[in-house]
Amino acid sequence: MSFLVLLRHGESESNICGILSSDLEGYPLTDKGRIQAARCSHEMRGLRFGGIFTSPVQRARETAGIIAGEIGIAPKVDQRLIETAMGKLNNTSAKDAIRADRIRAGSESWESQARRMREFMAGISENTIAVSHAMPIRALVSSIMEMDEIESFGIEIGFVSITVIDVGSERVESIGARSITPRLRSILSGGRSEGGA
Amino acid sequence: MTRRLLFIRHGESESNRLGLISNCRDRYHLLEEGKEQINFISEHIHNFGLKVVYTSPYARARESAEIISSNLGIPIIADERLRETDYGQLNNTVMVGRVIDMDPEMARERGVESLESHRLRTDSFMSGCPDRSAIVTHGLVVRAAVSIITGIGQDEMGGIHIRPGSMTLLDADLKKVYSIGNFLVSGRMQKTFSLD
Repeated sequence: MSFLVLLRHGESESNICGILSSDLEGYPLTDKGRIQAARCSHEMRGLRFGGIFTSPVQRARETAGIIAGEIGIAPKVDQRLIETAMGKLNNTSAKDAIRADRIRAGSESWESQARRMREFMAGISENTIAVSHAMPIRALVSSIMEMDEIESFGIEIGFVSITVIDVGSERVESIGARSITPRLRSILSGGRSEGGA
Repeated sequence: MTRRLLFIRHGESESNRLGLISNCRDRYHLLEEGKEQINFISEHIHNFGLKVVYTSPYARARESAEIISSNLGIPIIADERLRETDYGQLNNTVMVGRVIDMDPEMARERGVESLESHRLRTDSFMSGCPDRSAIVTHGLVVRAAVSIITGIGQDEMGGIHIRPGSMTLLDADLKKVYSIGNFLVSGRMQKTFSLD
């Protein structure tokens, strides 16, 4: 049984400025973001992973670097984990841009994000950490639970929160969890996945 | 079998506006904005064939349920199990952030109702709830319902946000989640209710 552990990057300069950006460089983690990543890596203590992958975007790479310190594996960049391509909305403060605005601005579609994240997941054959972004993670979770963008509106992935997916059975075990609960620790250590409370 | 349960968190109310968490049942009413949210939902669910609206006994929930009941022409049934979280010593205090994000030890020390308690009463309610029911309740009860259906722990879904006036559509028999915390009705949600 393989589990994909998706982490959203920590708080970054783009987030505190309320800017949407798919630029590779320019928005590093803030101090708070680094602390969030360190806290998450502490949650991961004792767990074993076959690999750690990251979006090529700076805030994700920096987060992955901090997590990798605990895991002891060098992160590899995977393009499929990248931030939503923002199109004309790139580097604008359009945080509340609705779907229609995004389509008009040539931003990457929901379907495209779900597809590339699924492709990434299909290649997983051992417990893996992947550092990515809020919308792509949400698109993957929603796709697995068979919900579209409208139906999954209540899903918002927080900074360095933990979203675990059982790859084989396509079961979502957590959605933006703040910690590794005893149940998550058990399933990530090879125990059986029983329902949580 | 199918058992379609449409959970609705009460509309924006005076306590939400004040950032207050409160166990006062009758003091905090729906704001105009909250009434609009629920009216909006009613318009879009009127052909779901909902037969009844269950509600928490709290004013903000009852008032939301009354709007649905009157718009859809269906009866209201109040149920204690759908009541607000017991906030213990934190009753009538201002809360920055969500109760679900509180440190569990601190919440326990302050006498805040446990997640297990939410699960028990929500499960009890859901097991007897018939098909085509609307259910007006509070955030942690909706989360408990999602947890029961999916097997994801209530403390493992911080990435789920149940806003005032939002819908969460579940099937308790098929163990399916059709929507979480949304405001617009999708074609598929519509279709779910036209199947028998």
